[in-house]
Amino acid sequence: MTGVSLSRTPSIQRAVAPVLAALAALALTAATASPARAQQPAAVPVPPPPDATPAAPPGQPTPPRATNYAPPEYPPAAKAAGREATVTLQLDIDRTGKVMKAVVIEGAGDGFDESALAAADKLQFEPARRADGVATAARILYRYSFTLAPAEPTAPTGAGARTGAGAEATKTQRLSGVILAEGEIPLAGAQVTLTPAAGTAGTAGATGAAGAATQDGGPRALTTDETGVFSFADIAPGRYRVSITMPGFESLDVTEDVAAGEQVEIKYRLLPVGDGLEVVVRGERPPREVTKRTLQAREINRIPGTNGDALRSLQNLPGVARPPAIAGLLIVRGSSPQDTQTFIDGTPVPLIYHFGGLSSVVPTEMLEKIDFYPGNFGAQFGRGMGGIVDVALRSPKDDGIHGLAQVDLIDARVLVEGPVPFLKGVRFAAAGRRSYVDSWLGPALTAAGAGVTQAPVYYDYQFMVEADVTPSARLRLSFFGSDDALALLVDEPTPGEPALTGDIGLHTAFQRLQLRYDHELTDRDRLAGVVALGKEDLDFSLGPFYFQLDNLSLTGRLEYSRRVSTGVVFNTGIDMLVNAATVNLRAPVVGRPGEPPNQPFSTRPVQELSVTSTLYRPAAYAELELVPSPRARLVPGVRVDYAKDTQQWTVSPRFSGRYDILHGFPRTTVKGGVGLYSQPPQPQEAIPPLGNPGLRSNQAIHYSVGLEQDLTRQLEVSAEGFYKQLDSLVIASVAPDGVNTAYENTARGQVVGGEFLVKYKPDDRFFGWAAYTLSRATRKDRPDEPERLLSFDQTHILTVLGSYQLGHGWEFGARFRLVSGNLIAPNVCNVEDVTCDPARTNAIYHAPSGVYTPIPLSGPGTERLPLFHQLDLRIDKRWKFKHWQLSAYLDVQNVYNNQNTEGVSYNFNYTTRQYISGLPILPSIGVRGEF
Amino acid sequence: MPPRLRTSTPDSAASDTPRAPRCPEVSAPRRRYRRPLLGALALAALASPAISSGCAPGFTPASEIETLRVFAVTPSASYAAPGEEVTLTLSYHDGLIGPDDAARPIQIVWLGGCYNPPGSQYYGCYESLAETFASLAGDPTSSDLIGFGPTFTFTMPEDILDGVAAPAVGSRAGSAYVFFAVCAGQLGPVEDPGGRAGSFPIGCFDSEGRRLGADSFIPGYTQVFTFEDGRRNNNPAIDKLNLDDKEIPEDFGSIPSVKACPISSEERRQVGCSAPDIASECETHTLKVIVDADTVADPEEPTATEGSSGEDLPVDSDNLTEVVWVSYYTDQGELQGDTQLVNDAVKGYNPESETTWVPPPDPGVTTIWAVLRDARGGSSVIQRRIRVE
Repeated sequence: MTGVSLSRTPSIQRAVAPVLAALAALALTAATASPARAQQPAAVPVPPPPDATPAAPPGQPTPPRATNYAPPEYPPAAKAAGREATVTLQLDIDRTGKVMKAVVIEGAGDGFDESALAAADKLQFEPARRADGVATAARILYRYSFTLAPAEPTAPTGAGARTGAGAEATKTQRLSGVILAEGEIPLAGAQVTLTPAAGTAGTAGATGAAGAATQDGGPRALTTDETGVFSFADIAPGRYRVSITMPGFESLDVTEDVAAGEQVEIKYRLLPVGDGLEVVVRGERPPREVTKRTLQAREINRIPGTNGDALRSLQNLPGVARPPAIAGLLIVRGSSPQDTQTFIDGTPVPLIYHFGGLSSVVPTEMLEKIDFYPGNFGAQFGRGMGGIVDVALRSPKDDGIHGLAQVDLIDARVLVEGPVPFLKGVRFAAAGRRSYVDSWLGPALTAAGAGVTQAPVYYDYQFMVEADVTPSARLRLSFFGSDDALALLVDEPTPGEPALTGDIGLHTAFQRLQLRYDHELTDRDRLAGVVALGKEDLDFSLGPFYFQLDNLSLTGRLEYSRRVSTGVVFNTGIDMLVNAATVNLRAPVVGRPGEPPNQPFSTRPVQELSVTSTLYRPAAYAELELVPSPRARLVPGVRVDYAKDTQQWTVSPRFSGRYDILHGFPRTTVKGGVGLYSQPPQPQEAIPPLGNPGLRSNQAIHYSVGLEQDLTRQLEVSAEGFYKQLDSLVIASVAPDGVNTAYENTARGQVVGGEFLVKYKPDDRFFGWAAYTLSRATRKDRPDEPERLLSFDQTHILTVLGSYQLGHGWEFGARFRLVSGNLIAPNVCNVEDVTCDPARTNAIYHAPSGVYTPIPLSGPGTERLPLFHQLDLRIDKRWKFKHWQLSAYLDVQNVYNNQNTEGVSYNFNYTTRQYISGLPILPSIGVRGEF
Repeated sequence: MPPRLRTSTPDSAASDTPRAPRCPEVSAPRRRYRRPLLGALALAALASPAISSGCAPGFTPASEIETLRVFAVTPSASYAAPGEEVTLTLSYHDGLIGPDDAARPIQIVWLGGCYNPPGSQYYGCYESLAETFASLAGDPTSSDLIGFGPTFTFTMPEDILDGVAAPAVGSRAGSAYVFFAVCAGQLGPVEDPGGRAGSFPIGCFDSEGRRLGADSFIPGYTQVFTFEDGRRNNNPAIDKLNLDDKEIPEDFGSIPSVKACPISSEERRQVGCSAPDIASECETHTLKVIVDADTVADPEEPTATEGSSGEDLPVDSDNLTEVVWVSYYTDQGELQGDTQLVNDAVKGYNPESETTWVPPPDPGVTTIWAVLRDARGGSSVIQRRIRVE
């Protein structure tokens, strides 16, 4: 794990520059921050030996690795002058591993540069690979160190040390050095163990910050001092195994030879530890869109209050509102949850969270990345006017069998992956998760008197087989799904809904059988396609009422990309959705949105029906990625959609762009975008008898403009203003016949706001950010009605979080949220309001049911609940063993037990009210082992 | 009253568990902690709402009659035929007394004449309701849209179904809304703030013109339907009301006696984490309405439309009965589980429809009401008294 974000996206091939930049950083880490045994005892230039670079975890993006080594010629003049030097090159390596270009980045003169360039041309590499295993071009830094031969072992003085600077000559041997992190930061407290190989006598003394040894031939250990230095003195000549461990960093094992009388001094560089996988959450775009924000796996796994769930971490990003308590909703820039679409590997899925948002339907361990677009997304996405969440599953590892098991209070999960035996280039992954909250919550609820017949149970599963059809083509067959079920027995009528009694059953599930194909046709052309068969079930029953939805879907997408010329990439594709749904319903007639209740829902007239419908919604799109200069990127595009159910064509032009005012560091970038988005009506709105024909798609125009600024290498700030104009929104009204419901496109609205992010990018110890969103979302249902706030409007959303590695495997994190309260339609005025009239008639008695029907005090969304604020803490501990690692965490939500208001309850006749509090202090623990 | 959670502590054996063992092979005792630990966490999760709400006492239950209350409006026919005469009977009780310790005079006004309002919403009647109420200033006895007292009779118009559109599913239906206002004072027009449902245009005022609140004024409405398919609905009937499985006689001279519960009213109000457990410290009693299980519920009218397959559906809608429930009320003491299911739509008659009554702390005569309702507007009321010693 390198701490560098790298993700595989369809567009990443078309945008080589970002890939190269990412891989350059990756390779720089590999070449300089890797355990480079920078010196050899001979006076030869020494590159970082390939075998000394720890392999990136399988399933991860990997940098190029040299497969040969051609030593450069030591410049004679420099050698004669006794001069040593280091030359750093930048190598461009193509998909075959060939060095296409070498440039001196940090030269030394005196012929060193020329010698290094000549040697570099002879290098051969195993090419860089993306996380999905496909070879790709890369740019890396490569360093040659020219050092002179050491002094003879018996020499009392001279260049005996490997650095050539080890001038001290003694009659005994010593192995010493310094442990560094990226950025040449000394690592104090690292544990260094020296183990004599067979035939080596052993060690006699060790010095460092701690530790001592005796000459017994056994392993010796010490810890580095505050400058990262260690030293094993008086060791016997021979071969030693040096093992270095440091909390927060990958461990390192290397073998060192110590000749008689040699004073070996070495620099070791450790890589920041990863979590076994890399997940990237893109804040607003991959290269086609306006902006990009990245969350690394360490961030995702350590954000307090999320239990390490990647998809739940989305809720901490700018523009994402806080959902109501225990509601697994994604509310993006004021839009309703149904306006935001969710994809898994390019295939739409109906939900991303299990019951109550406890966890997402795809475990983090299976994710390669998450692309999240809160607005102004590209033409490849449609049928939505909120945001887009595109979850990509990663490729299985292919370097052996790996596995993982994790348990916490809510669920347990396992994952196994590796190569398929006897099938070269074919790998598999299988994962599953099941909640067992039912095993303890069910009995507890029963004991408490709740009529639970089945406590909540959820599970999900993912199976995948992937093959490299050719070196540049990959085929993946996946099957994944999710299932949630709950059953309750309500044996006492609730006072407000006296006719709702009996067994409550809720079951929701979906499955997808998916085939993906990615092919790099040439260096300029790429073809990517995905097709999926899907099935969805939603069953809800309560006594005599039920709702059943059975849905079969066929979705597909095919995209072709071509690099037309330098700085010009053309993308085009088709996108198809076919749905065949059957709905069986027996339920009271549902009230129209915004319509005050006439009586208890359960006593409304009952309707029973069975509806079968088919939706056919094809689309096509095209997009240009223009890079007129290294500073600028412009992406115009257009999308054409057709909806057979409404028989409507929509054309959606879109444009986004960004420009670096200051290129390089510190970078200053301006960005912006505008686009038209359409979203067909919901099936129940457009398909009789529930809905009516003649509807059009909802429409939105997204505008955004923003600024990104690097403050330091670690600290960046960004600000973005957005405006969404919503038109032709579907609203339910009383039909002209006065009896039925009619849907019409009369509503309009707008969302305006700003997002601000200050982010400290992860380093060896810390990561964190502060995100603030200011927004206002309004809507007017009909031209003659006043404007009102949208249900999910939250004016202020502030999230501040951070996590710090304490050392020795401990990490501590905190998250604080401060969010405007949710909106309600009050039935009873707030007595603290001076205009409140306590004698107002707040409810009217509905004699047939004996229940009071509230008379809303005002329109919907006219009162805001008190401010929400909550502090979550998390502490992690990791133990690393030779072949596996174990980690545990304690995640405590709402540490100071703030009684956040999630709603209002009323007494039976609506003369008084009180707040409903949300979750109290809630601890959660988990343990995880992986190999 | 919010539900209370009973908690238990680990037994003494668990608490005597020796210190944590040093060696893994002797870690079995540690495992003994797991179940209590998980149990404690489960209870913590369950107790979360109580913790977060600070053990708030909650609201006074609807079953405790302390002010002016309406129990039911019983129609002679909740599903009426066109031209059928329908009589509505209002059952109420005033738990408050006047300044002179005498019963307060209660004014009951009925306002009819609203048929098939837009969207079939009650607030669609407000315009005609205000006009009808304004006519009170003239000669109200000349209008058959207005009535006074506990009963009101109106005739379902012959043309109630004329012009009514067919719903997307089900039979065509028309409805008549009849409003009423029960006031321990004088009625008058008001104009309250309101949302899309507007506001009720009538208020209640005392003799000095001060507006009275919900403890002295109850506005309400009932709805009587006429279906094109001619369906009918019978009021569910109560045979008797039992106290501890014995019928409570209607004759005041024969009413049963029970012991008072010594917990004071103030202590009962202190519902919370440390509140006394009334049920364990007092003698409690069961109240149960006795009904004819075979006739208490009418069969549901078929609601299936063409295309309903009936296969693999969770409910066989051809064999459903209407939901019937009973609500118990008392003017003294308290009830636990005051609303009970009498007939389940799917499972039929429920024999366990009793409630638990905790007598008051002071001697006297307690009145118990039980209202049996079905989901189609039918109801019946029974009232009995119990002496508390």
